[in-house]
Amino acid sequence: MRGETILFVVFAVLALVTALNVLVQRNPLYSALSLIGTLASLSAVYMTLRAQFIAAVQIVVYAGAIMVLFVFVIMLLNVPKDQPQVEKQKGLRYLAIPFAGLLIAETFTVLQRLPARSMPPLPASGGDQAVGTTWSIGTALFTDYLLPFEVTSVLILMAVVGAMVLARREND
Amino acid sequence: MAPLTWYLGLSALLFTIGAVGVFIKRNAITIFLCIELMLNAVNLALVSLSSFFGDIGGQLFVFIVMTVAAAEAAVGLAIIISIYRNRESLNVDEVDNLKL
Amino acid sequence: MFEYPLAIVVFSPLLGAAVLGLFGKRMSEKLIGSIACLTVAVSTVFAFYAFFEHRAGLEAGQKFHEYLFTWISVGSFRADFAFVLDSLSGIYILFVTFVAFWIHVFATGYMRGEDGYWRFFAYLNLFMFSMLTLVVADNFLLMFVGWEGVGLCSYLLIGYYFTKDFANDAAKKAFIMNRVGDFGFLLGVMLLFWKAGSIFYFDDPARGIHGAFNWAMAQVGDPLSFASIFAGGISTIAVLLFVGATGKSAQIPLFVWLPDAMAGPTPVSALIHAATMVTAGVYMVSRASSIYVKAPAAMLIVAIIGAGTALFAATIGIAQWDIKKVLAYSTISQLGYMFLACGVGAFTAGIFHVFTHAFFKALLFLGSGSVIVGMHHEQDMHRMGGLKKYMPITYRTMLVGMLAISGFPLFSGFFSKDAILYNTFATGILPAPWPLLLWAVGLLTALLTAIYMTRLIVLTFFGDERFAEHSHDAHDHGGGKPHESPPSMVVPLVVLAVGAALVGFLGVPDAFWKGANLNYFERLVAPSISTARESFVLTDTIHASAGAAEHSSEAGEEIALAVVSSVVAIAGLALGWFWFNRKPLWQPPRLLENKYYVDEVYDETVIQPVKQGSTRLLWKTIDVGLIDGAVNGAAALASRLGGGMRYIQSGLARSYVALVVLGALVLIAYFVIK
Repeated sequence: MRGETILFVVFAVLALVTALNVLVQRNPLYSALSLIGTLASLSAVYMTLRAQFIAAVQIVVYAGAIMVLFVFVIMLLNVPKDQPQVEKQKGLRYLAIPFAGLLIAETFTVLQRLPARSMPPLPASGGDQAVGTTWSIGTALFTDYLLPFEVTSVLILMAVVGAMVLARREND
Repeated sequence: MAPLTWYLGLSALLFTIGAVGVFIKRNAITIFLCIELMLNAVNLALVSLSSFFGDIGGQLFVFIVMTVAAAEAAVGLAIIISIYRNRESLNVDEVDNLKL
Repeated sequence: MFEYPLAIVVFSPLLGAAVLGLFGKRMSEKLIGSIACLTVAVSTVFAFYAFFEHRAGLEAGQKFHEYLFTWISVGSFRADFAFVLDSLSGIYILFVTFVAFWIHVFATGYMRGEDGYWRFFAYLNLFMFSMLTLVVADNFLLMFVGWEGVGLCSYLLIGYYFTKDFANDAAKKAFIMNRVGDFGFLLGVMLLFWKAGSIFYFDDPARGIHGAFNWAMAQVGDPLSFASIFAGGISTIAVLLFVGATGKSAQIPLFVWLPDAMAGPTPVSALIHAATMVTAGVYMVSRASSIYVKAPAAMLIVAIIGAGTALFAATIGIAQWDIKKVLAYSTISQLGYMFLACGVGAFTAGIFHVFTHAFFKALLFLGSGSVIVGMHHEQDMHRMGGLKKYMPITYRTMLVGMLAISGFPLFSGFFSKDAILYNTFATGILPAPWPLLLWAVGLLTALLTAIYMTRLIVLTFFGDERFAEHSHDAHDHGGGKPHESPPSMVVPLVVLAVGAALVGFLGVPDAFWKGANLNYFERLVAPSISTARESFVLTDTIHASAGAAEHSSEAGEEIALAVVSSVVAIAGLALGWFWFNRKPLWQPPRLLENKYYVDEVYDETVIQPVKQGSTRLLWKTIDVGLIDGAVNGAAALASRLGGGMRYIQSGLARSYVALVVLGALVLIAYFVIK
């Protein structure tokens, strides 16, 4: 086993455990913190894939900004613990098990079917301009993918306005 | 070095966990967290395919998914706040007015 | 000078109708009347222009085509928006526009103060457009456009007082009756196209058109047999076209709408239901004379229906009390005369009667309108009498009309009626008993005509003044003495009276003056008509030995018959005069007064079965049971289904998620298994 494989296995297990912990925890704050662990583990997995830029952004934007926003909202609302746990359609809870089983079975059937020889090996690391470096992402983003990039900015603008409209307290 | 199928398998497992979470959780914020988990599972699949096939497109797509996730988080949390403001509850089972 | 005079003739009234229909509501009565009269005047001027410009050619039998555009061109079927001027349509546009102009003038006075003055004149102008299209069309389909157009305008104008039930009922009755006839007409045209491959009348080499009439002339005539009518050949075409004519021209069995059509304003009765529209059937039959002369069975039917209608309507006319109803039955009767003429092959005589009839019947109707206005909208002759001194001009002009329609010697009706009777008597195309029989019926009708017209005049203008005793009646809202009408109404009466007296001299029989060519009308129209004499095999036996001696004996015969019919007319006048002067309120037989109960018979045999069938079967069973059941059933099904599916729509986000995941799983499974 090479070092990268060991790294992958370690962080994959960590990601799965923290992801399960998201479900197990009752308090959303713990769930959120557990999810930060998953995201950080995934960042490490990205590193094994030599996607340095995405790995960095994963930490900065996801684990940093977005999750902070979540934690912020959770603490802001501060739901009391003794809230009655209403649950309608209890059967749905048990429906989750066959659904999950079926989903995993299906995906792994697909993966099983993929012929091993068509799977390419991970290319060796190749300098400053290899796929996954900041240079490669930036070049592609501001040349071929300029329009999607700009459209995304409009989307974010809309999200900002929408969030303001939704969260604003009505003063009348 | 780990083969591509491992990465994809991990992605599938994470996605399933996220889906199960959306299923069984009743707290709106937790459900939201599970959705983020599913998004990340998909991101993992995209990045691994991008790296193995040497095509930058997949990673760019992940970049855009992240911005969309950010926007979604902003709007979604705003909605959650206004729901809580109106109902004093985050239980999605209590928010079932959208029916006949 | 003008390239398209006929187009101007036709479209000028349409322009008037459009202007009045769109903007008339805000115009003053004076302006509306001026526009309506002016557009018709333009029509009249150009009709005269077109006629006299081409007079020499028309007399020689030439046809002048005026092609505007190709209307329909599908496969071998073609219909053009094109007009044709020959002597037949030439005569028609002359008297139609001329009489219509004076009726328009009359109407400006008659309709004064009525609600919807503009509407009335818009319809009237639209009618003129339709009628002129009908007349100058150069194919059957365009004629049908005009044919339907006049029907529509007739409907609109009969129902002019649309707030009154009887007017609406009469309008609907007229329209439905006409539809029955139109259906026959349309079938006839279709069959003609199928057989002849063309719906144009004449050849027009400039456009590469072959006329249906040339096809008809090239056919071997059908035998005179009952079977030929149903053989699907030329006789069937002729009979189907005649069905259309019976509807439009109010012949047995479709005549009942015309008396009810008197619900419309009197100028409408004069223009549409006397002078022009109702003669469209005669025009069409004459136009299609080339077809009729090849179909002796159809000719016999036309003659019998014509004579039968003439006598039938005349007997009813004697017993009516409404002044306009008398004239309506008189119109039906005179139309019967025209068809009788067509049926015996004397199309020219029929057209001549149309021509003179337009003058004197329009005159009589306008006169009755003048009386009605003078009597403050009283139409019942029970309450008239002695109007001579109050309405001297109306009285004199109506007297002229009465003498003309009765066939008093040297008035216009005398010449046209005489021509019909002579041609019936001397026709060579019908087998032995028919000419004499039809002639006798015609003569009897002439006698009755003189009697009922005398009755009308006597009851209206002579005797006691019966209106005074009813002045307290609730219906008499006008008050005051009867009065003479204003100049706008009197002048048309005088003009038409002059016409009614004199136009007959255009068609003086040749026989009246040895060697002279007096009958200008016949010489003019004849080239446009296929005369039966040259087509019928039967004629050979009668006219084969024709010679100079025969001609002189024919002339003698004609003069003798003219004398007979004069005597009959004068006898009728005298009889009517003495009888009704003595007993003006003589009670006619109930059977006649109730019009032989024809309406009641129709009600029992046609209307009630249709009504019952519609109510019981179509409405109660099929509509309520089947159609409503299907509709309600579909609604109930959707409702049940929705009620069941409603439970899926729980409003719970998690159940929606479950469905989404299920859908995703099924999709993935599909691809996995595939």
